[in-house]
Amino acid sequence: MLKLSQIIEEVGLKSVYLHNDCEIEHGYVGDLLSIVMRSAKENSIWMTVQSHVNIVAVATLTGIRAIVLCEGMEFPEDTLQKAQEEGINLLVTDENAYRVSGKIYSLNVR
Amino acid sequence: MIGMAESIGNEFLPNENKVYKADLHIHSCLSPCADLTMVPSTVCTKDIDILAITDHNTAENVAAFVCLCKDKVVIPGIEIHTFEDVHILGYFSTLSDVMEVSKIVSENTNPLPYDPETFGYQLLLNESEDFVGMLDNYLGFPTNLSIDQTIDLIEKHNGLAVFAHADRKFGVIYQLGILPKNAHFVEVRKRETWQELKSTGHIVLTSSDAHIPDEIGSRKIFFQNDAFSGKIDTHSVISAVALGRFRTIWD
Repeated sequence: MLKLSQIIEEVGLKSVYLHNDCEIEHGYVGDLLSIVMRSAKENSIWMTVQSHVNIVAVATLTGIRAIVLCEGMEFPEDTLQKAQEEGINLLVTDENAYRVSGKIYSLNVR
Repeated sequence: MIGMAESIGNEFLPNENKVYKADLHIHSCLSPCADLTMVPSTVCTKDIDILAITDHNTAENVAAFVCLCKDKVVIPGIEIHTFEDVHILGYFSTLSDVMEVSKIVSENTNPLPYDPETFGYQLLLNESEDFVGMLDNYLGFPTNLSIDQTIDLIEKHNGLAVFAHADRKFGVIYQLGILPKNAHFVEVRKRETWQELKSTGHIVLTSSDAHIPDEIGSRKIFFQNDAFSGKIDTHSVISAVALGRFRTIWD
């Protein structure tokens, strides 16, 4: 278990919207919403390249606390707005999901 | 696939000099992401002759539009969200076919709690345009149906399957990188994709994917009167699409 702020600092993520400095227990990688809905655990940080507003609904549903949009992509306005309403933390990085996940894994978030 | 000559709703005889405008991708107030004003009295006053109601994963509002849009041909439709996060449109000649597909789609979703206040109301209409209920299973999520299963389901019910906004989010090229080999009918957003797919022999459509009234008809296709064999009805429109007898906004 690690504070989100620690992960952000250690991995060098950029915050787009920070709702709260929650405890992160697990990590998940995936871009297909159907699989994420099925497999992601509560209190996770989720690495993806999917930025459609539905990712916030998926996060709310599964208990994902933070979404990391990878590869230098940007969150569209409606996704940002929905995340603010729902209290989902949004982060971005230029790196790909593999590299970001590796770094977070090495911080003992498994 | 569209073998049956059955048809529902309004039918018209083609007028010799008229070019018929069709917007075959319109959401009603039943789609959580669509405006609450997407009801027949708003949608059917727009300057198009043929329209398809294509809500996410359901066709429960189609009947109200068929009943209330008196001077237009309303194609019963649905936009199915596949397991792979790809949207596929189904067009049908009859209400019974689209409703059967809608029922099977609904049996292949995972009922999950959602907050309509946050993610949008899903409002059911009756044939007097009253709001008569809400669907409480969120329609914006993927079903358990794969792309192949979805196409199969549509075709088994005499429908025409079209890949929606292929070059945009939740479009097949955007999600999976390439168009599947069995894809014949594709709706696109970008002119370059239109050009490319036309050169590979695909039948390419340009429809609006309207979620608000002002978007209706912003993209459309055009039929000459001779595109239809005889009268203009749901069946002859779908046949004309299947045969590629139309122009897009770029032709």
